[in-house]
Amino acid sequence: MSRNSAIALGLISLVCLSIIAVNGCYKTAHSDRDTAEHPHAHAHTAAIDHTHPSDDATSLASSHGADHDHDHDHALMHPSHDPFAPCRCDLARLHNGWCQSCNVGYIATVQIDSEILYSTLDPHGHDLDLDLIVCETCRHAIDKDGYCDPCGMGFVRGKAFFSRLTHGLASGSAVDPVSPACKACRIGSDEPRWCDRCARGAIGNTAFNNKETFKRTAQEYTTLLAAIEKTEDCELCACAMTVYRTCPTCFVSYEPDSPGIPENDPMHEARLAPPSE
Amino acid sequence: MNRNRTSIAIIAAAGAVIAASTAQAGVHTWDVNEVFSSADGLIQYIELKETAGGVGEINLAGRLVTSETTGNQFVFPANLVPPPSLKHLLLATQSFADLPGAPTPDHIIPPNFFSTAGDTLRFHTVDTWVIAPGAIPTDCVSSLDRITGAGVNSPTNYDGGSGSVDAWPQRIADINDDNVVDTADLGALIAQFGTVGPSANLNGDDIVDTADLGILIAAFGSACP
Ligand SMILES: [Zn+2]
Ligand SMILES: [Zn+2]
Ligand SMILES: [Zn+2]
Ligand SMILES: [Zn+2]
Ligand SMILES: [Zn+2]
Repeated sequence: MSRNSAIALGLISLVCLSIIAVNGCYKTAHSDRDTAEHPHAHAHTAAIDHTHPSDDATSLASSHGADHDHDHDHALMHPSHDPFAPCRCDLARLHNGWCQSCNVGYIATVQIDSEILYSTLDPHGHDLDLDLIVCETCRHAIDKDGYCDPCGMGFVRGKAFFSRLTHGLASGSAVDPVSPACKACRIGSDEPRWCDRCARGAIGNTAFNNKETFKRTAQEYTTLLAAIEKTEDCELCACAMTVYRTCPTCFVSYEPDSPGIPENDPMHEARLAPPSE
Repeated sequence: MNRNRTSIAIIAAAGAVIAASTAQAGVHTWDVNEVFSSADGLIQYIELKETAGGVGEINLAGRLVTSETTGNQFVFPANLVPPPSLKHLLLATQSFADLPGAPTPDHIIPPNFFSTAGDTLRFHTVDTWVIAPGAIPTDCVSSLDRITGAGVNSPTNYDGGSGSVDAWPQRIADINDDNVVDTADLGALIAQFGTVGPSANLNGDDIVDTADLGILIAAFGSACP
């Protein structure tokens, strides 16, 4: 032990000298640690105001064709640009698709030049693992083909849609050009139009039998037109407008019924939050 | 797949909206899931997670992750290789990537990408995470999880590689666990010099000796950054 102690003492002298030389005042190295906090705050404390969507979409949901040749037409469904591809705008307009040749998309027959806006609206239903969705409003929406505003997600026949507009359109049915006897019901205008006599409406390529669903979706159609204009200023603002979120670069938030007016960003934590009950 | 050709033709002529697409793609179900930072912000990661078992949520090219406090932006350079369902994405600083035990980040972000003094992180327009000031632990081992709150960090990359890091790898020399390697630790080592321990045997061999002293010297003055 005495030999070890001697070695240790010798080493210590050397060590202390070198440490002082290298570090100067070593106390500065840990001064921050003395006051460091160790918070354990949880992120999910915000109360979420769930607006329950009306259930009127259910009456129409089953009337819309679920299976279709173009379901698997990747080029028509996903934005990409191929100037040498044949123009398929006619088909794209009918099916809320994308024309590779012209590099434009269509939703409710409205032409959308911005790929990111089209993709954010994403008119085609998504397959999710519905068992993983814990948000109460979403669960309700899954059962009733409704929409959960806090999560920005709605459901039609088990498929998920990520904007009020595309959810509304999916709730409608194909416009039928044959049966309308009255002028108001006939195809001709792409503008939202409701006929009280026939108790039916249409927005672009989609027909509605339920006036509330029609009105709601028509409002979203108007927002889409405003968003398309907005793409000239900021494409991400345009995206945020259509889904009532915040532009990730301008930090401007968009609320339903008042597009373009900065507001507090609606919290979007419900999808992640574990069940509270 | 069997279809009734006649009815399909009628629907197509009528201008049906396609309601279902099994090959759909998007980004909508990716959320910012976990954040980690050293106090100096040099070691940081942001983990995203596909939260809903979506099979086509791969179109991330050009989409942003942004910090409202710092103004930093990360742009995903490419789409993901499917399937993305329930996978993670790891954006991290180079100093994180260099730590022992760190899974390989999918993308490198600059130091101090986000602020530990409160921030709002966003992924495109589909996810917003408001993080309160002080909510992100800076003890070098805890991260902030979106669901479970503060806990041991668990970064995971797109390939499923995961691990846990200590942003202060010299912690081994902090014999008295006071979060700095200083003269108190040196004193503890001296007191145990030539013995088997109990706590100064830094390299885990049979004896507290000059090898352990060397480790302590190399770490001297360091603290959790
Ligand atoms: Zn075209
Ligand atoms: Zn929800
Ligand atoms: Zn009519
Ligand atoms: Zn913007
Ligand atoms: Zn110490």
